[in-house]
Amino acid sequence: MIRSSLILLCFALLSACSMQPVNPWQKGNLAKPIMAIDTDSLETRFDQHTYFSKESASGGSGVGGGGCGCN
Amino acid sequence: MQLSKKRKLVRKKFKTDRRSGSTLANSLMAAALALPGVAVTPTAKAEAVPEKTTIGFKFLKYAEKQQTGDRMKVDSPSMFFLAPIKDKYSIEGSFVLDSMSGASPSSYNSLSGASGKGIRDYRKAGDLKVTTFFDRAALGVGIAASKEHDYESNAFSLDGRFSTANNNTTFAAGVGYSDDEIGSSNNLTLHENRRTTDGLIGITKVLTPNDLVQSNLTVSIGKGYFSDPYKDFDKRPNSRTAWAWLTRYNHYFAGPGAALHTSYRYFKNDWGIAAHTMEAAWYQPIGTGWTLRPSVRYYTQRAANFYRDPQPPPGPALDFIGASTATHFSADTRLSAFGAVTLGMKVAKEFAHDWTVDLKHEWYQQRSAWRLSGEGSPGVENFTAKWWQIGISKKF
Repeated sequence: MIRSSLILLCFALLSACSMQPVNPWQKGNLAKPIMAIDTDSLETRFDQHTYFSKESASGGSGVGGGGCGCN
Repeated sequence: MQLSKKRKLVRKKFKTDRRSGSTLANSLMAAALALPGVAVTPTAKAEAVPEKTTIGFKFLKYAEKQQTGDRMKVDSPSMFFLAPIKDKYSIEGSFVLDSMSGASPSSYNSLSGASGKGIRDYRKAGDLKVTTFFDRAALGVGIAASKEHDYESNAFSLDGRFSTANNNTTFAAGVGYSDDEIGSSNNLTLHENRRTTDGLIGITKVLTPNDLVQSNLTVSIGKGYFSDPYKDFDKRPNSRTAWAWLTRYNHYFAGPGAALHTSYRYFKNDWGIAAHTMEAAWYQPIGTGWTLRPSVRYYTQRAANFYRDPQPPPGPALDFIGASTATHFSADTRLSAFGAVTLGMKVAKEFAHDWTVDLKHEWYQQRSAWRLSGEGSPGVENFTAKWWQIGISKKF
């Protein structure tokens, strides 16, 4: 419970970050494909499935992904 | 409208940005891709409908081995599509066919009847998602299914995203539900069930013109059958609650025109497993349309509190380490304490008319000795996997 509260606190701090706001015309670099959070959807699916079947940890990036008989 | 004004400004910027060779449409698509998503996998999600349709195919070839021999091999052809509908919706989906052959790793099935036994199995899986876009928000509904002869999973998800007026911060929330039916070809009378509810909250923030950070917290609450029907004495608890906290940080280096992606995930479940995952990847554009991406990943986990080391013959049988009397027991080494390293290299080339071809190779190894903390299992064999992936995609 303490850990969850700490995590929520970090979220709150992150969302309250008061940095100089970035303007739309300054987002050219951020808009490049190599700066995408997920650069290749099928590759991400493959990787997640592989690690899901070989390791105990999963999650963090989404919800609703079904299970499989591999784990 | 203010938003379209902003877009025009962004377009203007992109039109003059010749160094990257980006077309206007590519840039807008990229802008969409740069923003976060909540889904089975986070992909082209933003508070803007994608401008183009994307279709991609990939083929994955996976092979694993241990000191005592080759294990499972998997061939997986797959496809992906993402398409805008009018200017308010998008639809996306994927389909994969896994064809598995060979033997499962000896330590995973140690001393069980299935150990070393030749396996041939298939898995079909697919997902579909429809997203509705509003001014600064998006709402997605998705379904996913996976089917094997002894396992079937059906999942549903709902997620929403909301951006602040300057589009520098996006909040995300999602829920998912999955219903799994478990059978066994060793025991045809086995019909078990497991239901899992997932939740996610997340935030993505543009920190500077070159820095993007995303942090997500997910929880997964599962109830039902968790044991492995192919392992002797495998008796896992009938519930599992897991938390994962993932933070991703992307930085753009203007000098080499490259992007560094880093991430850290802390994971914990109520079986006693805690895990850390660290990843880094360097995206280096070279020449015209080429991108080179070396990557590295480190993973470490503690053992589940009901995990016991299997003793290979002529060691004592599982019975002698309390397997039959324990309330919960597993000798599945995926529940042991270990560390793992992945090294990867990907090459992608963009051609004219929005065609992209990519090739990736990754090497993965698990070792008991590479764990960060917790008791190791010195008797467990190292496990090595290699996979190759080739893909082609087209936007139009």
